[in-house]
Amino acid sequence: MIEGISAGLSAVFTLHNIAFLLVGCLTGTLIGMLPGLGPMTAIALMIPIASTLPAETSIMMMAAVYYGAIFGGSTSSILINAPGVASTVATSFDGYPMAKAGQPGKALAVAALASFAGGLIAALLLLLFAPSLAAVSLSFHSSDYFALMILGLVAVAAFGAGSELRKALLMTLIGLMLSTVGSDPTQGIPRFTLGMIDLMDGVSFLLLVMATFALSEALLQILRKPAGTRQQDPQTELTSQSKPLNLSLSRQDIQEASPAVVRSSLLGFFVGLLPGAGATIASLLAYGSEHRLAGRVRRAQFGHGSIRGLAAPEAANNAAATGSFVPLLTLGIPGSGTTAILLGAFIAYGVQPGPMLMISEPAVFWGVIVSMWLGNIVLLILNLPMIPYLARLLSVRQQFLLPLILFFSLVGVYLVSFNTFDIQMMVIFAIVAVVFRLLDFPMAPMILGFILGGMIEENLQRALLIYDNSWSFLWQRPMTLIIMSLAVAVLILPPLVNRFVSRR
Amino acid sequence: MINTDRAGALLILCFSLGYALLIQEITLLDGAPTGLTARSMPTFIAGLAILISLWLLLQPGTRQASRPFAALNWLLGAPFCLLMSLYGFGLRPLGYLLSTFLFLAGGFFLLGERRGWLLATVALSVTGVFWLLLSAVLGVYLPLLPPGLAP
Repeated sequence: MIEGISAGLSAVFTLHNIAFLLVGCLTGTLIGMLPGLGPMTAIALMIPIASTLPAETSIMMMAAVYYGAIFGGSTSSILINAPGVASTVATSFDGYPMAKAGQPGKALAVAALASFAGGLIAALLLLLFAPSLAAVSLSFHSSDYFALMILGLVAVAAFGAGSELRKALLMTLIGLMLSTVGSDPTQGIPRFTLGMIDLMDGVSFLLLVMATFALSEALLQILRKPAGTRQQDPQTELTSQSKPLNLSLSRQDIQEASPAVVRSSLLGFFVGLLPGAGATIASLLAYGSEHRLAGRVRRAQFGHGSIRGLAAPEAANNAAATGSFVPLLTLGIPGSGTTAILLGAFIAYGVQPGPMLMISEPAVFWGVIVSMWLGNIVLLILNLPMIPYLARLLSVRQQFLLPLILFFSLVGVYLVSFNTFDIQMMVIFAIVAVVFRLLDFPMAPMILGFILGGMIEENLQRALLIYDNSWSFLWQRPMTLIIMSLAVAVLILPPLVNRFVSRR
Repeated sequence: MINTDRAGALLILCFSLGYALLIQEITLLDGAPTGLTARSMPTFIAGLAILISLWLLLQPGTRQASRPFAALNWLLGAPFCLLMSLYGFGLRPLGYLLSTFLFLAGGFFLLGERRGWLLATVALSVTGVFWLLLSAVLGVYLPLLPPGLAP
């Protein structure tokens, strides 16, 4: 492990990598701050730029964009009560009342320090857990991978109940369908290309992500603008004030927040490990558990500017974001929509996350882990004092911002392929994504299905070859059997539990 | 009664049926290394998607019918889709500079900016700064001018 850490340190501490880490943190914060644009959009928007960089630099930058966006989302939650992402909704419960009560600087400082602590504790746990899990997963066969990918698909889709579950499963299947466009992985037979040469290589991952997240989000915001708008977008006092914010915290504030931060960081990390859970569930769970743990007097402060109520979800969401890297780096399985996009980006850069990553690309594996510490320090030291200035972005008028997002998305995809057909495809995918988002169908399972689809088919082919064209690996190989049983349990248990609870 | 869940399920059902029809057009070669052919996985996915979309479509309605498309400003959204498509068609023949400037200026105009100087300044600055970032920092070359005018 010491060797690994030193490999990570030497990978991160180059001027080039630190510069792009700073760019990632700053860009992530800026994009995450914009209401409606979360980590998924931030990462999608940065993929084209990252694709021009060496693999380890680009991956460190993307990780920085991820936690920078979560940090940025907290800022808009606190200052204008508009969470940039679902994972910072709980932050607004106490952050916004605190800001409204004349303490925006204090609220931002609590959020930043809690995020920092959550990220740091989780990065330490990542350092302990990831290598052990990677070592175990080295013994995995194709059939185990096949089962793991099924578990990944099912787990994300299954975090709903009733019709929500079916909608998530349907979107996963749409993603799987899109993954089959192009050449068949074993024999190279063209499938679903409609006779178009441009589709022979399949649908580009970047194109799909940009269209379904960045482009469709901007289009939705355009569609939701009232007809004949020429009015200036509302600016809040908090984002347009010119005097510096008071970011200082008293010893009492720190004493009150610290236990909640430690508890929530641990909770967040372990929730982040679970496929499908992620930062949103972690932050809401942390808020709920701190609410229950608080005494009667402190509980009454929740929702009215409680420091514990603000610190807990902030620590948990950052820790969960870090925790979600464990299955991604060690098993190559994304646990959430955001890590699914990151997995696609890794593959696009020629890096295959999974058990072999630690051996074949130690600089990437350890570099990402070490860069998380550095990234969290950057967020605290550089971004926190700059928040009052960065927050001015919230007052940039949408009539400039939205066309710029559309432009960056379109040109970003064009820069990778230099094919204008991709722009037309993006427009079509974005319109379809807008329709499905309006119908309340989730997009993240589709991306997950798209990314895992090809891998599932390849691993299944390999497993069948090894087992002489027999499906017996599903019950003869214990690891495959265990993982497949888990997948079935994850799919069946939540609806059964829900039904049982609702009957009682 | 049609609600958002059923409308989505209906769309996916139609898509899945179209996908299933296209499976028949996949050529099968002799000598597949395993029992899996190029049609196997698509057939399984299509079947499952048809079943689940039917399940969602035919389930007893629990949700209130909502009209998510009603309050949207389609008169603004449709020109934007057209603008993006035109940008795709114009990027090569017009070159990056002119097509991007027109796209951004058009976008700002559609969203209500009527001050010509501001609109042109922002569009031109973004176009220029982004091109410089690409060519000078990231080393990506993007033809600035139309093919006939390029040096």
